[in-house]
Amino acid sequence: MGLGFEDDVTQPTGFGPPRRLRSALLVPFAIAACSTDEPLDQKVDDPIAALSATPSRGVAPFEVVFDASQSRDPAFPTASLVGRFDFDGDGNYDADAVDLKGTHRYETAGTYVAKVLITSTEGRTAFATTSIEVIANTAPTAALSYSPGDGNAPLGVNFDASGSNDPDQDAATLEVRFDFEGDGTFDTEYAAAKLGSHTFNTAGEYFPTVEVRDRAGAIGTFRAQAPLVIRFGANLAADTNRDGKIDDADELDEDSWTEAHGALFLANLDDDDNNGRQDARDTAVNGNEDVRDLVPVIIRRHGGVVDGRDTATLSLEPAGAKNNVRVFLQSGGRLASLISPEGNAQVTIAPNDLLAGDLQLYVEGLNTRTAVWDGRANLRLAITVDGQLQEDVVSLRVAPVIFTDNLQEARALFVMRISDRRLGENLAFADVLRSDLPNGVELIEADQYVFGGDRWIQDNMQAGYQLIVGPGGTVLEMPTFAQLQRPTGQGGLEAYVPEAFLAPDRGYFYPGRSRDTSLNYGGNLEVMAPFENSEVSYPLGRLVIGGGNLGTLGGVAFEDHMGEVQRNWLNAQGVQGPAVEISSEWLAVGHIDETFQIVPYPQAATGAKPYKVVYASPNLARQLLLEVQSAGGGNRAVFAGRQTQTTVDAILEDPALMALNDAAQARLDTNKAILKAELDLKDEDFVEVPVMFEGFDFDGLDLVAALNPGIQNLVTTNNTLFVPDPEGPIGADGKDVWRKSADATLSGLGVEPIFVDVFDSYHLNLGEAHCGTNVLAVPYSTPWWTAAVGPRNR
Amino acid sequence: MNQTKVILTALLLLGSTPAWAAPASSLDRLIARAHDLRGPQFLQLGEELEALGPEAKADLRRKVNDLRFTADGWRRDLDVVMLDVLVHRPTEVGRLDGLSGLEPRVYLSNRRPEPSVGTELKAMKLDPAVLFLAHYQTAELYRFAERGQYPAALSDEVQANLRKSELRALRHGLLIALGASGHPAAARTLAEVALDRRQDEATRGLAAAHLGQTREVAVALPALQKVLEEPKASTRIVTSALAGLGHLRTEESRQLLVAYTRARHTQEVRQSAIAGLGTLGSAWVAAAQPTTDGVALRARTADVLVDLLLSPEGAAVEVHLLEALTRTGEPQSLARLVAARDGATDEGVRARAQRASARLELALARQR
Repeated sequence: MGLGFEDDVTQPTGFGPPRRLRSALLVPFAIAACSTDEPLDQKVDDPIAALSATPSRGVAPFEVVFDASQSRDPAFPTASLVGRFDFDGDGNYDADAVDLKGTHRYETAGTYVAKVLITSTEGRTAFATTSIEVIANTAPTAALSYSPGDGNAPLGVNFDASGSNDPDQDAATLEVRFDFEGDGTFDTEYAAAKLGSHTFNTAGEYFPTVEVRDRAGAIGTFRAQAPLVIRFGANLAADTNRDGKIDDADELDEDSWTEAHGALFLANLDDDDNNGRQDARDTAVNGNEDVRDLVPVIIRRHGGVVDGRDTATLSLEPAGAKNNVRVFLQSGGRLASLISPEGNAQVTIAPNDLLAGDLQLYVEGLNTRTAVWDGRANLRLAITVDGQLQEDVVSLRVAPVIFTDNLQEARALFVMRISDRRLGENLAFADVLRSDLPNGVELIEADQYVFGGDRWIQDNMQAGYQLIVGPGGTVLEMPTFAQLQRPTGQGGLEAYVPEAFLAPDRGYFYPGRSRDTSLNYGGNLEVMAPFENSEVSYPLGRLVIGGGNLGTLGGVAFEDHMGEVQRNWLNAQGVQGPAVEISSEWLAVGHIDETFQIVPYPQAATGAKPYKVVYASPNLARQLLLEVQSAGGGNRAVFAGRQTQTTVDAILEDPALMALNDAAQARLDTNKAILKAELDLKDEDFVEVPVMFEGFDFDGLDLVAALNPGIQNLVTTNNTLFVPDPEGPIGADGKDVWRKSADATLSGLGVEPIFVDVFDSYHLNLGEAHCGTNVLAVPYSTPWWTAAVGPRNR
Repeated sequence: MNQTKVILTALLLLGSTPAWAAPASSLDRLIARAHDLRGPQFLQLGEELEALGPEAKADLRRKVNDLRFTADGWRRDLDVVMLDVLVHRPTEVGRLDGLSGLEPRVYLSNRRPEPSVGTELKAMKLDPAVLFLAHYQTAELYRFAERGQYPAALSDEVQANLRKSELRALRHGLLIALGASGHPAAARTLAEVALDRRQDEATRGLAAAHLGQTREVAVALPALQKVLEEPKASTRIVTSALAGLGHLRTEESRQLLVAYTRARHTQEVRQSAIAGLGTLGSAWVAAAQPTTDGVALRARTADVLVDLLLSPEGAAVEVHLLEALTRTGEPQSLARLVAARDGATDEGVRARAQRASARLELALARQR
C-alpha cells in the first residue's frame, strides 16, 4: 500500500464512514489515500479496506476481477472480514463476498467507480473504491479475396479472408465463416482459419460472402460486389473419394487414381441372370441384379452448348482399357452399350443430350487386371463450346482378385464326395467332413459323376474375391475364383468352375493358356497371412508358389516353374505379390502344399503372430522311427494293413530312401530360409510334423512324394483342422508315434486336429486332404484401395 | 592244333565251355540265337524250345541254376533266364498286365496324371528274370490299354501320346526295379542302357542314376566314368551320372565328384556334383550302413565341401553347398566354418561362412 493520494488501482483507505484522506498519517499501520470524495477522519483502530481491480481498463465487454483480501482490522487482527461490492458505483451493492473477491463483466462503455465495503467485528466498517474505464468495442472489418475469379464448372476456387482486421484485437484471433456461393447459408463454422476452398459445379453467378467475428461478438461482413462467374464446363463425376455417393466432394483429384482417391469398379465375372454365361461376356446388362455390379458415372448437364455449333465426345483411356471395359448409357429406361471392345474407344455425345440434363453412365469391367492391363481406366469428356475446348477426366480402377489365407473365417468347404467304388470312393474322408465341419461352414460337394471322380478340387481353382465400395458406403463383394491351368479333355473338374461355381454373385477368371505343368495347379499356390515390418508391408498377405532350378534331390539338373501366363496374372493383381517362389520342382506333383501350410494359433501371446507354419520334417519322422527301433520295435508295421505296408527297419535301413530323405530335409531347410527372409518369419514361427518322402519316377526323373500321408497337407476351417492320418508305427505306449507327435504339436496351438483316413482315396494317388478340398473364406477387412504394398520406401 | 588244345584246356580250367568246343545242342543253338532277337521272333523261341521236348526244358533249368553272370558271360546268361521265364513261368510276365500305374483310368485320376510304375514294380518284388525279359522285350510284352479304357473325351492323338508315355514309363520302371533288385546282372544292364547312345537322354539318365544305387562299384564306377567322359553328353545325362556316383560310397567316386565341382564346369554340372557329394557323405545313409571307412569318407567329403564354400568358386553354388554340408552333419565342419566366419577378411567368405554355420548348427541341433 502507498501513502498519499493515488489514482491507481490500489487505494486502501480509512475506516468507518468514508472520509477524505488529505494527508498521510504517521501511524504504525499507515494507510494510503483512497477515493478523493471520501472525507477521511480515521481513527487509529478502525478497519482498513483495500481494493484492487484487474484489469481496470478495457474494451467492452470484458471481465474484471476484484480483490479486497488485503483489507484488515488492526484492532482485531484475527477477525473475519466480510465484503460487499458495488461494481458499477450506483450505490447499490451488487454482491457479497465472504472471501473478499468478486468478478464483474462490464458490457457498456463508460467510467465506473467500483466500491467494496468491509465489515469487521462489532459492525465496524471501512470502504475502498477504484475506477474502471470501459471503452466501447469496434466491430471488425471483413475482407475477402478469391482466385480464380471465374471459369468453367467444375471450378475450384480458393478464398482468403486474412485481410480482415479489428482495432480492438489481433486479427489472428478473429474468427471467420464462409458462404461461398452467397446464398445465405454459411458453408463453414466460425473458425480462426482465414483460408477456404470450394468447388463450383453448377454454372451461374455467385457473390461469395464472409463474416468476421471479434471477441465481443461484433460481426463484420463482406459480400462480393462483382459476381464470381461459373460458366458451364465439361463435368464428369464418379465416386472418386469412395464414400458410396457422387457429390462435390469427389471433384478433388478425380483425374488420377492413387491409394487416396479414384473410383473403383468390378470385373463383372458372375452370372446374375443365371444363364450359364459370365455377365461380362455379352453386350447387355443382365437384369437389375447385374446393375449392382456396375458403377455409376455422371455427365453433368451443360447448359452452354449449342446444337449444330458445339461438339462433345466421351473417350475411354488408355488404349489397354478398351478391351477390358464397357460403358453403358442410361437412356429411356434402358442401358445401352456406349463404349465397348466391339466399337470405338471414343464416342460422340449429342449437345441436345447435354442440354437436357445429367447423363447417367455405368461402367462394367470385362476382365481382371492382367500382365498387359493394370486395371486403370479413365473417362474423358471433351466439349468444344464455341471453339473453346473444355475437358474433364475421372479415373477408375478395376478391383484386383484377392486370395485368402487359412486364417480367414471359412464360409464354405468344397470337396468331391465319392461313394462309387469304381471311381475310388473316399467316404472315410468325406463323411468326417460331413459330421465334423464347424457350424457356419457350408459343405459343397461336387458331383462324382458329372466331374468324373476327379477329386483334386484344390487344383482346378483358387478361392478369391473382388471388393469395392457400393452405394451408401457399403462394401460390395463378389467371390471370384481363379480357374487354374489343368489338363483338359479328361472329363474331370476342368468344367467345375464355369458349370458349378459360376452363379449370381459368384464369378471366376481364367488367366489364359500357360505351359502345361502340374505346378500350375492350386496346390502350388498358398497365401501367407498379412504382415509388415520396418521394411515391407503386405496388409493383404503375400502369395507363395513353388518352382525352381535347384534340380532333383539326387542332383539331376532339372527346372520347372508355374506357367508364365498364370504366374504373371497372379502378380498383376498387385496387392499380394510379387509371389515368393520356393523350390518344389523336386516333388512329383511339384506343389508347395506337400511341404507346408499355415494354421491358426489361438493361444498366441499378445503381440505374437496369430499363426504357425506347419512344416514337413523328414528329420522328425526319422527320429521318431529311431526311437521305436532303439526300443526294440524295428519290426513294427508302418502303414499297417495298407497296400504299401512296411516296417521301421525296412525304412531306416534302406540307404537309398535315407539318402532321399536326408536330401529332402536339406531342401526343405533351403526353402525355410527363403520363407523366413521374404515373409518376416523366424524359426519359432515354424512347427514341425513328421513326414518322410519316397521316390516316384516321372519323365525319367527321380522326383518325390510323401511316404506317409503328409500331415501338413491338412484342411483348415476356422480352428478345426482335418489332418491326414500318418499311420505310423505303434510306440511303446500303444500309440502311433507320428500321429501322437502331430497331435501334440497342433493341439498345443489351441486348434482342434481331427485325423482323417486319406490313405487309399488320396495318398496313394499322390495327394492328401488339402489337395482334395478348397475353402471359400471371408475377405480381409483391409480395403485394398488404400493398402500400401511392398517395400516401404517405394 | 596244339594252340587250340591249349586254349581249350585253359577254358576248361576256367570253367567255360565255348560253343564251338563241342557239338552244340539244339538248346545251345537256340540260346545263341536269342541274343540278337527281339519282339515276336524272340517270343517265338519259347515255342521252339517247347518243341525241343522235356529234356531240353530240363537242360535249360540246369543251366539257370549254374549261371554266374560274369563280366564276359552275363549277357548270354540273361538270355538263358529270359528263355526260362518264357518257357517255365509265362504267367509271371502276366503280372505286368495289371500295373495300375499304366492303367489310364487309374493314373489319369492321380494328382499328377501321368503313367509311372517304378515304385509299383519295386514293391511287387518280381523275379528279376521277369524284369529282364520285360526290359528287353518291352514293346512286345506290354499290352496297350484297350481303346475303351481311355476316357471317351480323349482324342486319338492324345491317346496315342499316352500310349507312348506308358511304354516309356514301363521301361523306366523296369530299370528302377532292376536297380533295386540286387541281381548280379542288374548293374550291367543299367550300365548298358546308360552307355547306349541310341537311347533318349531321359532313359540313359535314369539308368545312370540308378546304376549308382545298385552300389555295384566294380560295374557302376567305370560305366559312370565313361558316361561322364562321353563327348557331347547332354547335361541331363552328365548330371544323372553324377547323381549316381553319389551312391557309390568310395574314395574314387568322391574324387570324381570333386573334380566336377570345379568352376570350369557348367553351373548345372557343379551343382549336381555337389549334390552327389551330399549323398555320398550323407549322415543318414552312414547310419543305415555304418562302417569305419564310411565315417572317414564322410569327414573327407565334408572337408572338401567346406573348402569349396570358402573358396571364391563357392559363391555361385552356395545353395547346393549348404544343402550338401547339412546332409553330412559333421560337427568338425561347424568348427571350421565358425573359425572362417570369425577370421575372414573377405566379406563374401565371411557371409557364406556365417550362413553355412547357422544352417549346420540348426541341423546338428535338430539331431540332438
